[in-house]
Amino acid sequence: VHTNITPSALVTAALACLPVGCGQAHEATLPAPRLAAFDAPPTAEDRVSHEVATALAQSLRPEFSSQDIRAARRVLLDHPGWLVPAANGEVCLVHVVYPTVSELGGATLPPATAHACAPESAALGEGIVESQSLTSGTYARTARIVGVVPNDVGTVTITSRAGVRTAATVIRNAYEAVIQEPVAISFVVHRHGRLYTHVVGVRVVHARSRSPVDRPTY
Amino acid sequence: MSIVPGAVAVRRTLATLAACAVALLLGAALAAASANALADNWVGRSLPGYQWTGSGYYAANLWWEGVEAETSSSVCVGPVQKSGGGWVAPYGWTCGRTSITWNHPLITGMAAVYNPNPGTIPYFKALAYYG
Repeated sequence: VHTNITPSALVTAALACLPVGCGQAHEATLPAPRLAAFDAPPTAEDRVSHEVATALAQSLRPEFSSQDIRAARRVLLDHPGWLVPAANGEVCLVHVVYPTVSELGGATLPPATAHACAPESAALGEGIVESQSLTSGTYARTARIVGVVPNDVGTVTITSRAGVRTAATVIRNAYEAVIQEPVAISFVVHRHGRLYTHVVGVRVVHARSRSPVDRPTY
Repeated sequence: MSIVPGAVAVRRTLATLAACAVALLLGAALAAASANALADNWVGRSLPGYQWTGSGYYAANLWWEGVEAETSSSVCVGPVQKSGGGWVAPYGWTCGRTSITWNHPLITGMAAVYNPNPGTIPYFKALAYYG
């Protein structure tokens, strides 16, 4: 009797033998977030890169299902960034972070992925804001500000320590800007026929020491 | 003829056995990989304003870190590496009011948390993954 075991049969049977639920990406059934960026169906331009998809699939807190990753919406124009629903119901601003040093120890560093997440209610209320230092030190004069604001907000104002106010255009609920010593973000929302100004503090790295406190031994 | 159903049954049995052997090998590989993985779960107390601290675990294959702090303001997190006599943040620091996490290529480093506020952060939880 000849036994021809095709590779596909082997893989199928092997998958059947593997334990169920290995912590891999799972399918979510949560409704789409109410942020306007999710109103239109995703297009090819919204698709996250392979590297970002891999990073999201590996994310531990929060977790992203394959459906979540497919639901991503591209939001930042100058910088790779997406709004992605998470399996726990949060909404995350996911963006690519380029290394602050071209190489370290002879090795070239590839880009990383950072994400700031908040419950949808928070994203629709006070929004999400994140500062990314652009230096490798512990004192960042310049920071990239990325954030999410509620629906119908067209512009945010970023105020610096020196009092300079910079307007950033909101596209699909998100904005970005590179600012010297940012201290606050403000935006105006309509609520119940009235205008309210939200002000959110922004912090950047401005450490007093180059070494960690309570420096541990290694 | 009954030889055809019998051959099919033998094929199925052998395929299943071979596949299960593959699955066992995969399982062993996964177990070995898991044995090398390390979750560095740590907490910090009373981190003064404008100061930073590290987990204390400096090792190769750091690829994920995140922090949740007891503060109504911001907290910063980032991977740091030794460089010369000091430290560098090869991807900078990310600061936010919400849950901040990183996912980056494998590096030798340590997860670090910075308090960007004037006041002390009384308590924070941070998590890093290696391997």
